[in-house]
Amino acid sequence: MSRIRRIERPFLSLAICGLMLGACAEPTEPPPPAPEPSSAQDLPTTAPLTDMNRLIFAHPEDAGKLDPADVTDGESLLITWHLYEGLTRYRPGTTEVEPALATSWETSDDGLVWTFTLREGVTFHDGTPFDADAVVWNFERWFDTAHPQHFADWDFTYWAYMFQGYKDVDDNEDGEPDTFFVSATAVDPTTVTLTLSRPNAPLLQNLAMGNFGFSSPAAVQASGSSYGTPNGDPIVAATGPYRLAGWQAGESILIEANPDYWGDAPETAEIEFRVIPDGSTRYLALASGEIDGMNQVNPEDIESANENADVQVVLEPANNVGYLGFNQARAPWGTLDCRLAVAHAIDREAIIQSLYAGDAEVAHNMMPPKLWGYNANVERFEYDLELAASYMEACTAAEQIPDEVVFYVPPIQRFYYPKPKELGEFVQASLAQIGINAQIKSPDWQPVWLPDVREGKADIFLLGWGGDNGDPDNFLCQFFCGGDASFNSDANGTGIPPDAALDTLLREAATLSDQAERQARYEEANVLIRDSVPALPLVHRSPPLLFRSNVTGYTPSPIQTILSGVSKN
Amino acid sequence: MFRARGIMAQYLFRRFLLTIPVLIGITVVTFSFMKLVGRDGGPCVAILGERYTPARCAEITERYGLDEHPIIQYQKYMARTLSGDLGSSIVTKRPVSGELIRVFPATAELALVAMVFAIIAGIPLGVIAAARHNSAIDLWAMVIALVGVSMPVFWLGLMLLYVLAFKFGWFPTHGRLSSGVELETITNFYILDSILTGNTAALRNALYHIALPAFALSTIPAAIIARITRSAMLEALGQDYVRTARAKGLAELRVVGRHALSNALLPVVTVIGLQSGFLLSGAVLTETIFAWPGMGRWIVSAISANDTPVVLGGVLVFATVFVLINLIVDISYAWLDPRIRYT
Repeated sequence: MSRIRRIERPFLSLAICGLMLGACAEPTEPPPPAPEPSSAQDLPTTAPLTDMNRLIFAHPEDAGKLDPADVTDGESLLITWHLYEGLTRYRPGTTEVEPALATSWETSDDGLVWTFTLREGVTFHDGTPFDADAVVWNFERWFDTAHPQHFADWDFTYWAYMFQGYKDVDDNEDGEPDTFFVSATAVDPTTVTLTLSRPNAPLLQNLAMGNFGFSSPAAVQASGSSYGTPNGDPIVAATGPYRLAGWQAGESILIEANPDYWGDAPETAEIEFRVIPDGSTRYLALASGEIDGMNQVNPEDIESANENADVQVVLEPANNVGYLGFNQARAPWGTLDCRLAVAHAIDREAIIQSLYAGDAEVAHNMMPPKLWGYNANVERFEYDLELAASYMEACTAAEQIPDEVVFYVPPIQRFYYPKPKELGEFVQASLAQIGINAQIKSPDWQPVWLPDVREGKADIFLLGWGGDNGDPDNFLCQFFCGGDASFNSDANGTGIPPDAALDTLLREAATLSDQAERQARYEEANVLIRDSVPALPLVHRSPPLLFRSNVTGYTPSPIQTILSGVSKN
Repeated sequence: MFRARGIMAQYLFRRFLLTIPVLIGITVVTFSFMKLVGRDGGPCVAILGERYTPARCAEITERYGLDEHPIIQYQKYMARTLSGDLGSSIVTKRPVSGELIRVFPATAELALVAMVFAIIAGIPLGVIAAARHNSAIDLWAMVIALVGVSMPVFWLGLMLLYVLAFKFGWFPTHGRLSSGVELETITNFYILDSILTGNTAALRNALYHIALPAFALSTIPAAIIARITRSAMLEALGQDYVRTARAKGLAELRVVGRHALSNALLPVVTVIGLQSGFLLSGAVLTETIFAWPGMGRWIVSAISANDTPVVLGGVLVFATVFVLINLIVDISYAWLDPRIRYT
C-alpha cells in the first residue's frame, strides 16, 4: 500500500463526510486498490526541504509561556524541557532520577534537611553564573507569594501542587502552613540546603519535574512579568542545552544549541517547534516532508503512518491510567460485591482491540507498569459474566439497585481515551448485561463535567490520570488518600478515603526515605486496590509520536519529550 | 465644497458617538454570556485539567477576583479597559492587547485577500450572468455560485490541502511563512511588512502561503457577491437610462460596464461590507485547517477555556471593526450615488 493511497483514505472519508454535512462516521471503507509506488521524492513539492541542521517538530498549540514554573500545559513544557534544568532530572527513557545541576545530595536522618552539591562552571544563557544564590532565589520566588518576582497574576500552580502550598498559607486552618517546604539556604556558592517541616519521599522526583527548572534571577528581574512571554523581545535565560532563538507567537518557536552548555552538545543545532492545530494537517505536513516530527496523532492517522515507509511511529512508554471510578458514597457502590460484579462484566481486552490503534494495553494496577511499585502479580479481573452475575446476586441482596445509575463519560478526547463516547457506550452495554441501567451523562467538560465528578455528583465515571513526577505516590495517593470526592465523600461533598487501610498504607509510604521499603508498600497497596476495587483500571495508553524515517536518536520517555539526542540523516 | 465637508464631519462625529453605546452594550452582553455559560469555577478546568479540585479552584477564583459579584467584576473590567488595559489571559497569562496585535493582523490579512479574491471572481461572474441573462453562461455562472455558497469551508480547505498542497505540492500545507524565511515585522501584516522592508523573498513566500486559505475562505462571499451583482445588474439593465444608452448606439460593453454596473454597485457594496465582517469572524475553520495563527482560533480557544478577558477583548475588536466597515460602506454610498447626501 503506497503512502499516498494510505493518506487518501481518511481524507476522502472526511471529504465525503463533509459533503454529507455532519453525517461523519469513522472511516470504515475497505482499503483502496493497489496504487502506484510513491515516495516523498516523487512529489513535486515546492516546500523547501528541511535543513539538516534544523529539526522541525509540529505540535497543536503554541506554548503559553516559557517559564516552566508558571505553566501547566504540555505545549509549554515541550519547549522548556530543552531550555531549563533543575537540581535533578529523569534518566532518558525512565522515571528514575539522576543528577542534573546538583551533582550529589544527602539527607538528614529525619528526612527534613536535604543538602545538594551544585555543579560548578555552569552559566545561564544570559551569561550570569549559576550558583547557590540563584537556586535559593528561584525557590523563594516560587514559594513566597510576597517575593517581588512572584508576580501577582502568576500562579506557580505546580509548586502549590507538588509542595502543597505557599509560604505562610494555611488553608487547612490547622495553625500550620499547608506546605512542607520551610526554606532554601545557600551554605556556600556550590552548596544548598532545603529544609522541610515533614518528610517528603518524592522530593527528588519532584525536583526533576520540568516545572522546577531554574531561571536566571537577573533575567527575570530585568524582564518583570513579561519574562518568558512572547511580548516584545522574548527573554528566557536558563542553563539547558538549548537557548531561545526566536518566537513567532502562535506560529513557531526556534531554539538553538547553547554553545556554553556544561554537558554534551545536542545532536541537532536548531529545533523549530511549529504550531499546526489540526491533526490531519499536521500529518500531511509530515508526510510531505515539510516537518520532521509531530505529536498528538489522530488515531486514524496511526494506521496510515504504520504503512508509510517515509514515516516512523514511536510509542512513548505509558505514564497514565484510564479507569472506571466508583463513588462509594452513592448506592450501591459502597458494597464490594457490586463493584466486583462490574469488574468482571467488562471485557477490557475487547476495549483495547476495538477502540485503540495498537497503542494501549489493559491496565491491572491503578498506576503504569513502568513505574516502580507496580505489582504485576495482582490477581487479574477476568471477563466472566457468570462470575459477574453471582457477584451481582450478592450485590442486589445487600443493596437496592437504583433504576438509573448516573454514568459520567468525558465529552471530549483525553490522551488516555481517544474515543470516549464509544468507550462509554461499550461500558454501558457491559453493565446492561448484569442488569445495571447506566445513563450516560456527558455535559461540557470545562464548566460542568469535571467539577461535577470531583464534587462527587457521579455514581460511576470514566476518567484517567497522567503522571507528573514518576513517583507512585502521584498516582495512588492522588486517588485514594481522601483528597478526591469523586471516589467517596461525606455529606458535605468533602473527599474521604474510600478505604482506611489503603489510606494509612499510602500515607506511610509517602514519608519513608528508603525506596525499597516504599516499593514494598506500593506493591501491597496495589493488592489492596485490586481487592477493594475503589476503581477498575481499564487502560494504559502509550502516546505515539511520528517522525520522518530519516530521523534517528529519539529515546521514548514516559514523562518528557526531549529531542536533543535526535538527528537527521 | 466646504459646507459638504462640514456636513460629512458632523455625520462622522454622530456615528462615532453612536458607536460608544454599541460597544458598551456588546461588552455587557458578552460578559453576561460568559458568566452564564461558565460556572463559578471560571477557567479552573482549563488551568488544572484532571488536577481540578474544588479547593484548588477556589484559590484560583479568589486570585483572579472571579468570586466577586459579576457587577463588581464588570465594573473593574470596564475601568481597566477605559484606561487602555484589556487585562491578561487567565489561562496563558499573556496580555490581551499584545495578543491582539499578533492575531488581528493575521486574520485581517487573510480576510482582505479573501475579499479581493471574492470581488475579482464574484462581480465579473454576476455581470456576465446578467448580461447573458437566461443563456447557458448565466446558468453555469449561477451553478458555480450555488456550489460556492453551499460548499463547507472545512471540506473545501481539506480538499485544497490534500490535492494542491500534498498531492501536487504546489502550495505549503500550513502557516504564514516557511521555516527559515526571515521577515522583520512592523505591522504583523506579513504581505505589507515584506513590501515595507523590501523583502521580496518573504513577499513571495507570504503570498504563496496565503493563497490556499484565502481561496477557501473566499468561495462563499464570492458566490454571494455574484448572485447579488447579477440581480442588481438585471434590475439596472431594465432601466430607461440603459435603454436610452443603447438607443444612442453605445457599445454594449460601455452600456453594461459604465451605465448599468455603476448603478448596480450600491447593494453589491453593502454585501461586500457585511461579508467582510463575516470573513473576520468566520475564519475559525480556515485558520485551524491551515494553521493560520489568527483571531478566530484564539477566541474559540478562549471561549472553551472560559477565559473572559480574552473573549471580551476579541469581541470588542470584532465589534469595532464591524462598525468601521459599516461606516465605510455608508460613506461609499455617497461616492457611488451622488443623489445620496448625509445631513
